Amino acid sequence: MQYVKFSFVAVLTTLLLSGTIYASAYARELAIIANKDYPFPSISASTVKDIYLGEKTSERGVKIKPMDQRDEAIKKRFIEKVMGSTVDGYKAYWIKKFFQEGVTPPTAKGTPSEMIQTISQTSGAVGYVWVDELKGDSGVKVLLKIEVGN
Amino acid sequence: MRRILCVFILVITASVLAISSGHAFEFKGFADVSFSKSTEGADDIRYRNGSFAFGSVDLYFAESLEDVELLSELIVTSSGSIVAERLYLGYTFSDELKLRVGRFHTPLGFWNTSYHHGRQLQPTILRPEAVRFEFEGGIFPAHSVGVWLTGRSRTTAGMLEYGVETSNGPKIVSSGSNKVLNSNNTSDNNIGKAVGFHAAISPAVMENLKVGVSGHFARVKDDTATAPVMKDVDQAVYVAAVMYSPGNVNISGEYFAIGNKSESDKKYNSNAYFGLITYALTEKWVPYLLYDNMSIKKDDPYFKALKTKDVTKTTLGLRYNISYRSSVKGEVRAVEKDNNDWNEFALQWALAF
Repeated sequence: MQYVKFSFVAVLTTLLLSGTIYASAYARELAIIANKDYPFPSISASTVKDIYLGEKTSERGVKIKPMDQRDEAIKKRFIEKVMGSTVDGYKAYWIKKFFQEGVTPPTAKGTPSEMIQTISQTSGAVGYVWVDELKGDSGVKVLLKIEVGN
Repeated sequence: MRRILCVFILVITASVLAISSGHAFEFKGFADVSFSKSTEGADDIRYRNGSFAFGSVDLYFAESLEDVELLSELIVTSSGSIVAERLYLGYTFSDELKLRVGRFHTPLGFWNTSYHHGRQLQPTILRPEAVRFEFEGGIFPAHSVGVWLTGRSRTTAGMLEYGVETSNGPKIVSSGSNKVLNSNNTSDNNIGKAVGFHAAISPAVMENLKVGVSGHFARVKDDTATAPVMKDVDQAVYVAAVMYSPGNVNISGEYFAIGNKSESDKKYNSNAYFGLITYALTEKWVPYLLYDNMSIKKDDPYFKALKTKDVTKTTLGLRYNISYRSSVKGEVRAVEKDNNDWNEFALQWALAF
């Protein structure tokens, strides 16, 4: 009987551990990327938030140009996990911000490759893509990687 | 008809620019319609019958060309006239220092620069008494024409916002049988330029709190051709404002201390304040409560000219967010003004496009 109990606990533990390993192995990561002229090698999550809320528009003389993805899945994950908001809340925020201060919202780019290419060619551009979409030297600087769940 | 055509041309031009330009160009607007009814005693008897009204159509656009920005906001009023609400050119030296030159919303308190004609953004149907527009009998200039230096900086203490401005001092002009404030769009009618300041902090230890102070100092002249009530009044307005939003609750309040000094050096001190609580039951349903009070010195020549009365108003309302762009608000108000009291009921459908 004790052997059965031990086996049950062992199987359960193995299942839980493998589930955790599976989940973390497949948890997706977002990369915050920037043009190579961005003045710092890394960035904090709170600075990313300030940039995408229009609170920070320049860094050491470089005008920052944030870019959003058109793809709703990655955009939703970015807004919820990094900005700590809902998609509607984020859109409503930008209506207010634009009206109050005339600060224009981030421009939207179509595909990840289009975003990477635009950022590599635009001074001060900042954006986000899935980490696995970055291949070799994409011509951009990776400032931060953020795990955003499955 | 000509004005409507002008707006149409403007919209088309802006749309073409938006499509053709590679710059960050945005063109947006607000619109609203409402229904209001009041009981006996209300100072505007039209609302006793119950009245539908379309509010104003607010069209604004902004363009950023690297460090230079342009913002223009036009209002098509319910009477069909077009008003240049805001028009300024700006230059961004850094986040810590921005320059704006033109006509802007006077940075006095939080409400005036936050909502203005954007009814969809505004938590309530009406603006609080203390921050009513000039044409509604407002007691402060909601708009200024001049130069505004502003900025923000994230420090270890929290996010700081600050600014100073100087502008044409307001004047009092005739509007039908009433007198109203005017922001002196193209010239100043006296040598005293208005000056103002504002500062606010969101402490790092409590980022959902924002407290601020602001001030506005101006010489105001009654510019009405017939029977001016006053000559010059030196006015000093100080405002303390607070906004706190823990979770679903949002609490805000503003206190205005108004000091007017007449040409005979007599001083008059008055005050106004409001407090607002909103509670988001869900993302869609948001009930709110607004308490509004204004106590003015009866013999103050400035308030005599504007026919301002003491007023206390309690507003209980419910907002339903159809989407992030549109909402319907319903309100019941208990108003006490100059020894009269009455109730008001109102509905408003607002849209951002």
